[in-house]
Amino acid sequence: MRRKLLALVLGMGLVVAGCASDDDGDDNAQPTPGVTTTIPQIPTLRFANTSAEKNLTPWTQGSGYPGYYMMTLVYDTLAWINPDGKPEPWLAKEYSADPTGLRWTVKLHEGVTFHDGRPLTSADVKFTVEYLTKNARPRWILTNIDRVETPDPLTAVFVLKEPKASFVLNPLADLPIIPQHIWSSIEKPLDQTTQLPIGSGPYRLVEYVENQVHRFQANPGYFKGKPIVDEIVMPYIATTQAAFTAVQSGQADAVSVSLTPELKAQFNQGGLKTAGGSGYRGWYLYMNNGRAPFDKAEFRQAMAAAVNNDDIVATALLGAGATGSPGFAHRSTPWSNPATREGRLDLNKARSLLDGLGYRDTNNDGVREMGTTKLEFDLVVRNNDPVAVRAAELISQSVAMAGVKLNVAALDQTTAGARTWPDYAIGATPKGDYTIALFSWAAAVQQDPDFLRSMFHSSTTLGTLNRAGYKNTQYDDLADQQTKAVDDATRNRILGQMQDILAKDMPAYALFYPDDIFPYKVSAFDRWVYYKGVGILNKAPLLAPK
Amino acid sequence: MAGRRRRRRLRRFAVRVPQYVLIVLVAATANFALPRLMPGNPVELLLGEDANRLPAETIEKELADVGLDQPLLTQYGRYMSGLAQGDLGYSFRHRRAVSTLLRERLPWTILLVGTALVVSTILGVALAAFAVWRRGRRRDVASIAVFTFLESTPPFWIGLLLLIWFGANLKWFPLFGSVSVDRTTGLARAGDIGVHLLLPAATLVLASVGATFLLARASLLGVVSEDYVLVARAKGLRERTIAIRHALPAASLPIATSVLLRVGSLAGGAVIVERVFSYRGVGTLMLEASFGRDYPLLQGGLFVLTLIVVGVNLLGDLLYPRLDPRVRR
Repeated sequence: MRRKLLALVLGMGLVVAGCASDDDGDDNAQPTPGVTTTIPQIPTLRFANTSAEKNLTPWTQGSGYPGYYMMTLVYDTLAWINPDGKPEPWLAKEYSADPTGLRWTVKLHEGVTFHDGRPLTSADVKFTVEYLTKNARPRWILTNIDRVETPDPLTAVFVLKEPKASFVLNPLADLPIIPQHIWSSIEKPLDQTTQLPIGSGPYRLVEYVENQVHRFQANPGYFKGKPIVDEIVMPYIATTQAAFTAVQSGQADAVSVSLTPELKAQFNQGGLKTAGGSGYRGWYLYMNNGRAPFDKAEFRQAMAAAVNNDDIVATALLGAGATGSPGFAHRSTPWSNPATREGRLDLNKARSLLDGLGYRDTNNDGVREMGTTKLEFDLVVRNNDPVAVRAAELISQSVAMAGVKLNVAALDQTTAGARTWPDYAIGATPKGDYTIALFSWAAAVQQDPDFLRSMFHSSTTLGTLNRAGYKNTQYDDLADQQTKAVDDATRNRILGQMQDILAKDMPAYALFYPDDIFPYKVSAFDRWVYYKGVGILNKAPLLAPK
Repeated sequence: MAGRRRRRRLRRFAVRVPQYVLIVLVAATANFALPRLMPGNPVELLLGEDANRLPAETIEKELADVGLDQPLLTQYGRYMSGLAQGDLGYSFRHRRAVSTLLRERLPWTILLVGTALVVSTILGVALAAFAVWRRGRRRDVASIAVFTFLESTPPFWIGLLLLIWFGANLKWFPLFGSVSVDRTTGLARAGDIGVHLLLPAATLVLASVGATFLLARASLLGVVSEDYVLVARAKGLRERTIAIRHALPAASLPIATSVLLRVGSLAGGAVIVERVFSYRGVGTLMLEASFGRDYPLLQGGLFVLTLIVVGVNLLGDLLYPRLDPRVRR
C-alpha cells in the first residue's frame, strides 16, 4: 500500500514537473541549469487548525496566525516578509521611494493572473486601496495614502500625505490585492461569508465548511511556479490537546498552534520534528496609568522591579521562552535598545520606591497601606492559557514580597479583553475596568516598530492600542518623528529614545515571550521554515525554490 | 365514559399549555437579556481587537447594520416580534440567518444526543434488571460502585480518555470532526458518520448511564418484592419473563420521567463533548457565539433549545397518563 502510494507520488511529481516547464513562460519556473532540484510533488498535506477561521477574505478572515497566512495562500501582497522578518518583493518586481518619501513607485510582475484567468494589473492595486479606504479594516489603515496613480498596467505609484517609514512592511507586504472585477460589485464585504474568494495566490480555496475544513488546491498557473503541495486540507480541531494528539497519531501532518514546552521532547521522535524559535507573541503587565496609585511612574517602577520575569520563564515556561524588556521592544528586533533590554527582579528597589511614596505596612498584615488606601488589587488575566495563569500566580507571589497584594482574577477571554482598557478610552471601545492586568499582544506588534506609536501615543486617533492610558507629550513627538524618518539609522535612534522613556515611565512592562514550538511530520512535508516570531504556515516554503 | 375521559384530557391540556407558553416567554426574555449582560463589545469582536483604529463612521455604520445602534427596548421589541413571525434573527458574526445555521448544526446534535439517550437508557435499564436479579451479590455491589463513579465523572474527562485510548493509541477511531474531511457518499458516508459518532456518543453514554442505572435499579427493587411478582413466580414463569413482563412496566414510570428530563442535561453535556471531539453541532456553534458575543445567534439558538426542552417536558406531561393509569383519574 505504502509502496503504491509512493509510486503514485513520484508519478504525479513527474507529470507535474513536465507540465510546469511546458506551460509556464515565467523565468522563475525554469529549473536552474546545473542544479538538479528534485522536489517530489506532494499530493496532500493535512494541517490541523485550532482556530475557528471563517471565509478567507480580508473582511471575514479572523486571526493573525494562522488566519492571515491561510488567507495569503489565496491572495498575494506586493511584498512578502521573509523568515527573518524582512520584506522582499513579491507581486512587485521592485519598489522604491523618491527622496521626499512621499511617492512610492511599484513595478508589478508581468503575466500575473487571478484564479479566474483575468490579469492582475495596477488598476487592481489602485482599486484595493480605494475599496479598503471605503470599507476599512483595523489591520490596514490607509488614511495616509492620498491616491494611487497608474501610469501603465504594471506600474502603481502610491502618493502619501506624510512619509511613512514602515510603508513597505504595511501596506506593501501586508495588504492583499483583490480583483477589481469581482469586488467592485460587492456592497457589503463583511457579508462575504460563503462565496469562496478569488485571488492571485498559489492556492485556491475550493472548499470551506465552517468549523470543519478549509481545502486548498494548488494554482497551476501561479506566477512563481506551481506549488509543491497539490492539496492542503486544514481540518478544524477545537482543542489543542486533540490537535497535538492528531499529529502524534498520524491524523494530521502539522498543527497551527505551538506546543507547551513539556511536550517538546515527545514531538521530536518517531518521524516527528519541531520548528520554532523565540515567539513575538508576548505577555505584558499592563497598568492603568490613569488610576491611582498606578498614575505615578515610581509606583509602576516599583511594580516592575518586584516582578521576577526570569523565574516566570524558568518556572511557567520551563525555560522555553525569552524575558521581555522594560523598553517594550522585543530584544531580537533590529530597533531594540540594548540599554533597555534587561528587566530584573530588584525587591530592594521596589521596597524603597514604595517607602518613598509613603506606602508602609503599618498594621503588619504583609500589605502596605497609606491612610485608607491599601495596596491590594485584582490582577486580570484570561483563563484559556495555562501558562499565563501560572505566570500571574508567580507575579502575585513575588510582588507580595514587596508588600503589594495581587489577587489573580482569571476571566474568560472576551471578558478579560473587554475589561483591559483604560478609563478614558473612546470610540466604539467601552471604558475598561482594570487596575493591573497580564495581557498578551499578537506577534504583529513586534514586527513593525510603528506599533510603539499606536501602543503609547496619547492621541486617541494615533494611540489606538494605548491600553495603558499613557500620556507623555515628549514621547508623542518622538513617535511622530520616527514614523516619518525615512532612513533606518535616524529612525532607530529615535526608536531608541522612545524605549528609554518607556523604561523610565514604565506604562506597561513587557514580561515574557513563550517560545514557538510547532510540531510536524517529516515524511509528509519537511520544508517548513519558522517565520521569526510568527509560525510555520506560510506560502513561500510551499513553492519550489528558484 | 370515553367522552368524559377526552374532556378531562382536554382540560388538562388547557391548563398546561398556557403554563408552557409563559415559560417560553420568560425564557425568551432571559435569552435576550443574559448575553447582553456579559461584558465585552460585539463590535470590537466583530471588527477586531483594535476596532477603534477605524474611522468613527465605519463603526457607526457597522453598528447600524446589525441593529445595535437602537435602544435596548427597540432591540427587544424587534426580537420578540421576529420570534412571533418565526424569524430567529440574523447572526452578525456569521452573516447568515440564525435558522439556517441551526438547520445545519442541529441534526448533528440531535444525532449525538439522541443516540446517547437511547443507548444509555437501554443499557442502564438492562444492566439494572441484571443487577436486581442478582441483588446483594458481588457483581451487583461492584456495578453500583462503577456506576456511581461514572455518574460523578465529568464528561470532558471521559471524552479525553476515550480520545487518547481509542483515537490516538489504538487508532480505531478518528480524533476529530463529525465526518471525515475526505468527501464520501452513500453507504461510505453513513459508515463515516457512524465511526465519527461512536466516541462522542460513548462519552455521553458513559457520563449518563450511571444515573439511569441507579434509578432503574432503585425502582426495580421496589417492584420485585411486590406480591404480584411473587404470584408470577408461583405460577412458574421464567425469571426473564417476570422481569420483562411484570416488573419492568411497573418500574418504568420514574425511568420514563428521568429519560425526558435528561434531554436538557444531555444537551448541556453535548456542548462539552462536541468541543472535545470537534463535533460540528449546536454546542460548538453556541460556544463560539458566546465568546464572540453574537447576540442574535445566542438568543435564537438558546430559544430553540428552550423550545426543545420545554417540548419534551410537555410530551412527558401528556404521556404520563398513558403510562400510569392512576394519573388518569
